[in-house]
Amino acid sequence: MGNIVSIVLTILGALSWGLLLGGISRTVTARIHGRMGPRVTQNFIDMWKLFKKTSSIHHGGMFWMAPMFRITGAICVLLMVPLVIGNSITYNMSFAGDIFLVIYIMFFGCLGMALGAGNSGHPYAVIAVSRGLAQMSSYELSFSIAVVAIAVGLKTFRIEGIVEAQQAGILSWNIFRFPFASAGALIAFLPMQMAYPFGIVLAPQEIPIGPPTEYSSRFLSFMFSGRALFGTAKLILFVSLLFGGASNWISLLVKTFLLYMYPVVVSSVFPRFRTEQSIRFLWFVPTSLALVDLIRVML
Amino acid sequence: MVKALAIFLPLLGAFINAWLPGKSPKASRVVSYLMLTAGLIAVIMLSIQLGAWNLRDLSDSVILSTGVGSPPLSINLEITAGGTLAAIVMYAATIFSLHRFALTTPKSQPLILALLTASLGLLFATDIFNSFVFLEIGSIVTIGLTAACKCGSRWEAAIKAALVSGLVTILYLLAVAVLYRSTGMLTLAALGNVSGASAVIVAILLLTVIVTEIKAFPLTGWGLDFYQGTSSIVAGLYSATWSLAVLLWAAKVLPLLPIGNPIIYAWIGAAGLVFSQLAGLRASSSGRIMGYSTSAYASLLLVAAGTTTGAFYTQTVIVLMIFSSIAKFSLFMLGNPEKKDQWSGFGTLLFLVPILLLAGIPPLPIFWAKFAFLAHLASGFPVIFYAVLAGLLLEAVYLFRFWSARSEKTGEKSAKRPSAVAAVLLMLLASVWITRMSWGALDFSGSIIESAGLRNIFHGLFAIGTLLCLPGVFNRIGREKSYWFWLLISGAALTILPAAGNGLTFYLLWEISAFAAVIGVSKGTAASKGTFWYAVFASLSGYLLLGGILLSKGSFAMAGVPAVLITIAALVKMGQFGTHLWNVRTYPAAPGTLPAFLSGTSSKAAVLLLVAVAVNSSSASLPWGRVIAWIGALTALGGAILAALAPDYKKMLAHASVSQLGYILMGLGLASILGWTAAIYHTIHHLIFKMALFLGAAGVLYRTGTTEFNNLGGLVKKMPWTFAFTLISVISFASIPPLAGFGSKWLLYNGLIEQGWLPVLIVGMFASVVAFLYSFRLLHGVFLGQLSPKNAHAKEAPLPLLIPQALLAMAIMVLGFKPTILLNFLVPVLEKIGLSGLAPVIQGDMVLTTMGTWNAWMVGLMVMGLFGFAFVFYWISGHKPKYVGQLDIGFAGEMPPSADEVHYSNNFFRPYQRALSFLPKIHAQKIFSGVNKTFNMLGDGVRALFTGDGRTYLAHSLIFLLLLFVFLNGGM
Amino acid sequence: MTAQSLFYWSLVVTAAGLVLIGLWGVLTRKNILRIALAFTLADTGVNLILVWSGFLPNRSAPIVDASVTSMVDPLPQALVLTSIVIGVAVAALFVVVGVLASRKSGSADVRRMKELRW
Repeated sequence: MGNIVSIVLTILGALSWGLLLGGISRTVTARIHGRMGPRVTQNFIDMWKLFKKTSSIHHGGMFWMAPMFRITGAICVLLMVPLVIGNSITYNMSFAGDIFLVIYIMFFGCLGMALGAGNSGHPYAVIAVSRGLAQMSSYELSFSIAVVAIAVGLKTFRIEGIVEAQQAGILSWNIFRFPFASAGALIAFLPMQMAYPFGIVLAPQEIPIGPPTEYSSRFLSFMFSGRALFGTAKLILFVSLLFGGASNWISLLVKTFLLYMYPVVVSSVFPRFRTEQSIRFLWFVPTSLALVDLIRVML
Repeated sequence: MVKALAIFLPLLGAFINAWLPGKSPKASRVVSYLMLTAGLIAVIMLSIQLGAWNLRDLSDSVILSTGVGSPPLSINLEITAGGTLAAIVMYAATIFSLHRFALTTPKSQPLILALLTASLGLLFATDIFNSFVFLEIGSIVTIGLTAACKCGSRWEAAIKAALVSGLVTILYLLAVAVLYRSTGMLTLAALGNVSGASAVIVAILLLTVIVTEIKAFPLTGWGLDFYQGTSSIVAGLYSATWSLAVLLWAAKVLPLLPIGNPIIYAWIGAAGLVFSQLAGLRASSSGRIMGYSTSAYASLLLVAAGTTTGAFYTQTVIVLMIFSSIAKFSLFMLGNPEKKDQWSGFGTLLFLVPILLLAGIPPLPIFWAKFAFLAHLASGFPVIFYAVLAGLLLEAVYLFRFWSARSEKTGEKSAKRPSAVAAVLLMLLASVWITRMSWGALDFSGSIIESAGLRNIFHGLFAIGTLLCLPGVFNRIGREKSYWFWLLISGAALTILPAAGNGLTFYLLWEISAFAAVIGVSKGTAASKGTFWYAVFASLSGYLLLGGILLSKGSFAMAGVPAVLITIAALVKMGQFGTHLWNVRTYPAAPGTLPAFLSGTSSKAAVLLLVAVAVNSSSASLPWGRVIAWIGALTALGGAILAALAPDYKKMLAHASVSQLGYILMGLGLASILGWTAAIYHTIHHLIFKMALFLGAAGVLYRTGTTEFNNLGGLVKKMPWTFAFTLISVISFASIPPLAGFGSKWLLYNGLIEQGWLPVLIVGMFASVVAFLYSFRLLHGVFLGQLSPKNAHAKEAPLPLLIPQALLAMAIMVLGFKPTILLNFLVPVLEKIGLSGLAPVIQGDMVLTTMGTWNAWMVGLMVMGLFGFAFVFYWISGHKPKYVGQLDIGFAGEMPPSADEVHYSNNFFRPYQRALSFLPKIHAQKIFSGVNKTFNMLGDGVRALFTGDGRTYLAHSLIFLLLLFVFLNGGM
Repeated sequence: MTAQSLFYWSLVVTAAGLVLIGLWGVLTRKNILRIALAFTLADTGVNLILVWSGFLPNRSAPIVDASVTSMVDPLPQALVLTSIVIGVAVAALFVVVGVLASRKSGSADVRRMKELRW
C-alpha cells in the first residue's frame, strides 16, 4: 500500500517539479535574452488552461491514444529509478528491472508520440518524428556506451547498485570515476532534452512545434505533462547515473535543478544544427569520448 | 530368343521401314511401334531375369552369340543388368519421340530405329571392332537425323559432327591396329594385355576417342555446337539413346585401358568439370546449356572411372548417366524457349523437375548417386572433391538461370506433352525406387541433437510456423499460382528436420525444404528473378552443407574445414553479411504468405544447423564464435540501416529479417548459457513477430496490390486489426518493454557482458536503436499519415490472414509478460548441453543474472496499469472529440489539395542518409556483380577455346592426344 | 634388304605418311570438299595400317587353296573390308552434308560455318 502511495506521490511530485523547472527555464531563457519572461508558475497555468478545454476533433485511434502512450512511458521511466537512496519506499518499481530496461522503456513514450504524430496526418509532425528518430538513434549510441562503461565498471546493472557505489564522497561520483563516459552521456543529454544545438525536432522555424503539431487543448495538456514527467525522470536517471544519486530530498531537488539548468543554459547560447550535422556530431564526438572509458573498463 | 529380340527388333524395324514405300507412313509407324514395343517388353524381361531392378548388383550378364565362334568372327554381345536398364530408357525414349518425329520428319523413322540399334549394340558390345562398327553407325545416323531435321543450323551441326566423327574413326582404327598387332585379340578384355609402347599408344588413342565422343571438357566444343544446332527432338532422342550408349560404353572401356594409374581420368574430369561449367555460365541457348550439362556428366564419368571400382562404380555411373539422359530428354522434348513454345502452370513444373534432377536435388534419383559418389571422393580425394563440388555448383547456377528465364515466358496455353509428362513421372517413381540402393540409410532418431528439449523446440517452431502460413494461402492475387503444396512440403521437411539422425538425412530434408520453397517462390507473379537468386543461394548453402557433412563423414561432430563450411552454409541461409541479397530479392517476389514462411520459419533451419554443429563439438561452441558474433553484429547494424532506407514494405521486412537474425548469431557465437538462452529465445521471438509482420504485409498487398511505401499510408482506418497486430510486433521487435522483444536483448546483453565482448555489445545496441527508424517507417509508411485515394477501396485483410496474426500477437504478449514460462523450460535444457557461463536464476517472475535483474511480469503490470488508468481517466472525463477527415489539418489556413501531397513518405530518412554519406558506398550488389563479372570473364576465357570452327575441335583432340602422350611418357 | 622387309617398311611409311598428310589436310584446308578428301586419304592410311597389323613376314595371302602352307593373319583383312565400306559411307555422307552446308552458307569455306558459337 505504501508503495502505491509512494508511486502516486512520485508521479504528482515529478509532474509539479517538471512544470516548475519548465517555468524556471522560461524565465532564465528570457533573462539571458534580456526579457522579463513569464512567471515561474506559468506552466501550471498553461497546463490547467489546456486541460480545462476539451478538444473537439481528433484524427484517429492512434492520435487519441498517443498522449496516453506518452504519459505511460514517462511514468514508467520515472518509477524504474529509485529517488532517494536509502529510503526504500521511494524505490518504487526499480526492483523490476535494471538500467537496460530503463533505456528501452524510454522508447515507449517516444513511440507513442510518434504514432500520434503519424496518425495526425500532418506532414510537419512526421518530418519531426523522422528527425527525432534519426537523432535519437544517434545519441543513444553514446549514451549506451556510457551506460555500459559505467555498469561494467561498477559490475552491476541495477540503478540502485550504481547509486550505492557512488556514496563514498564526491569523488566516487561516476562523473569523476568515468569522466569520458560522463562527458559522452552529458552531450547525449542535450538532444535528449531537445536543447540547442540539437533542437531539430521542435524546430519552430521549420516545423512549428514538431510532433504535436495537430494536438490541442486536453490532448496537448497530456502531451505537456508527459514531457514534464519524462524530463524529470531523465534528470533523476542522470543524477543517479553520474552525480551520486540523492541521499535526501534536498539533494535530489538541487541536483536535478542544476542538471536541468545545464541544457537550458547551453540551449540559450547556441544556434541549431542541421539534422545531418547533428547526427554526425552525435555519432562521432560524444561516442568517441564514451569509448575512451569503455576501453578503459575493458582493459 | 528374348535376348536376340531385345537387340535386333529395332534393326528389323529399320529395315522394314526402309523398304516400305514412303507412301504409307501409317504402316511404317505401326511397324515401328510394334517392333519397339515388342523390343521393350523383351528388354524388360531380360532386366527382370538379370535382377537389375534390385539395383544392388548390376554386373550380372548373359552372352548373346550371333554366330559360330568367338568375336570378331561373330558378333557377341554381353547383356549386363545395368545395360538393360539403360536399354529400357532408350526404348522408352524412342517410343515417346516417335510421335513427334512422325509429325515433323516422317521419313526419318528408319534412322530412329537404326540409332536405337546402334545404341543397343554399343551398349552391349564386348569387342573393340564391333564397338567401332556401332560407333560409326551411330555417328552416321546422328548426322543423317540432324541433316533431316527442320532447323536452320542443321547443316552446320551435321558438318561438325561429321568432322569429329572422321577424326575419331582414324584414331580409333589406329588403336585397333596397334592393339591387334600387339595382342592378336580384339576383345575389350584384351586391352589389359597390351604392354610397353603399344600400351601407351592404345591408351592415348582410345582415351582421346572416348573423351571426344562423350564430350568431356576440353573436347566438348563440337558437342555444344551440335546440341545447339540440331532440332530439339533430335537432341532429345540423341541424349536418351546414343549419348547414353556412348557414355556407358566409355564407362565400360575406361577401366580396361592400359593407362597405369586411372587417377588421371579423375584429374581430367575434375579440371574439365570446373572449366566447362565456368564456360557454361555464359551459355544462353537451351541446346548449349544442355551441352554443358552433358559435358558435366561426362566429366563426372571420368572422375568416377578414376576414383571408384567394382559394383559401386557401376551403380554410380548407371544411375548418373541414365537419369541425366532422362532429364535432358524431357527438357529437349519440352522444346526450346527460343521457339515460342510457351508454357505456364503445370508446364513450368514439368520443366523444373528435370532441372532439379540434373542439379542433383533430393529426393530425385541423381541426388542419391551424387551423394554417395561425393562421399566417396571426400573420403579419399579431397582436391578432386572440392573441384567437383565447385563444378556442380556452377552447373546449378546456370541450370536455375535457364529455368527462371524459362518460367518468365509463361503464356496462355499450357500444352502437356505426353513424353515429358511420362519422363517426369518416371523420375518421381525412380526417386522412390532408387532408395533401395545401399547408399546410406535415412535415420530419424534425432541423434544429431541429443537434447530432446532442443529438438522439441525446433519441431514445434517449424510445425507452428508452417501451420500459421497455411490459412492464408488461398487469398491469392491475380496470376499468382497455388503455392500451398510447396509450402506444405517445405514445412513438412523442416518439421522433420530436427529428427535427422545423420548427415544424409539432414541434408536431404534441408534440400527438400529449400527447393520446395524455391518452387513455391516461382509461383509468384514476376518472381523469376527472386526465384533465381533464391535457387542460387540455396544451392550455394546446400553445397557448402554437403561439403561439410561429407568431409566429416556424415557426422556432425566436426571441427576445422567441415565446421567452417557448414557455418558458412548457415550464414548464407540466414542471408548474413552480404548474402542478404537473396532475401531482399526473394521475399518481395514470393507470393502470399510464403515470405512469412521463408523469413519466419525457414530461416530457422540455419539456426538449427548451427546448434547441431555446436552441440556436437567438444565444448558446445561454434568454430570462431567471436567471428560469428561479429558477423551477426555487423549484419544486425547494416541490415537495420538498409531497412530504414528501404522504399518497399516487403524489402524493408527482408532487410529487417536479416538484421534480426544477426542477434541470434551473436547469442550462438557466445557459447554461454546466457548467450544461447538469448539466441533460442530470439529464434522463437523472431519467428513470431516476423511471421506476424509478413502476414500483415500479405494482407496489405492483397487489399491494395502494392507494397511500395509511396503508394501506401493511412491504412489504419481501413485495416485496423492488421495495424494492431503489426503494432504489437513492431513494439516487440523494437525491444520496447513490456513485449517479448526486450527479453532477448536483455539476455543477450547480459551474456555479452558476462563474456566481456563489449565491442560486439555496442554494435548490437546501436543496431537495436537503428531498428526504431525502420519500425516507425514501417508503421507510418503503411498505416499512418494520409490515406491515398488509390487505396480508398481497401478493406480489412481477410480472416485467414488475420487469425494467425492474432494468435502470433497473443504469443508476443504472453512471451512478453511471462517470459519465465519459456525460460523455465529452456534454461534447464541448455544447462545440460555443456555450455560455459552461469545460467540466469529464475525466482518466480524474477530473472536474475550476476549483474542484472528483470521482472517482466511487474513491468508488464506497471505499463498496462498505467496505460489502463490513463485510458479510463480519459474516457470518463467526458472527453469526446469528433473524428474529422484526414485532410482537416492545420495547413497554413488552407485545405490541403490532396492526400498524396501532404503524405510525407518519399525518402523518409533523407537527413539520415545524408549523414551516412561519408561512408564509402559498398553495395553488396556491386560486390556480387563483381563476382558475376569475374566469373563471366573466366567463362569467356574458357569458351574462347570453342571458336565455332569445326577444325578447331579436331585440333583440340589432337593436342589433347599429344599432351597425353607427353604426360604418360613422362610418367613412365 | 629383302623384298619382304622392303615391302614391310614401305607399307609402314606409306600408311603413316597418308595418315599424317590426311590430318595435316584436315587441319589446314578450308574448303570442305578438300577436307573430305583429306579424310579419305587418312582413312586409306589407316586401312593400310590395319593390314599391316596382321602382316607376318614370308607368308602368302590368306586365300585358302592347296598350295598355301602359311599365310598372313586373315582377320585384319576382313576388318579392312568393313572399314572400307564404312569409310565410303562416311565419306559420301560427309560430301553430301558438306555440299549442302556450303550451299547454305554460300561458300565451301569451313571458316564461314561459325553460326553455332557461344
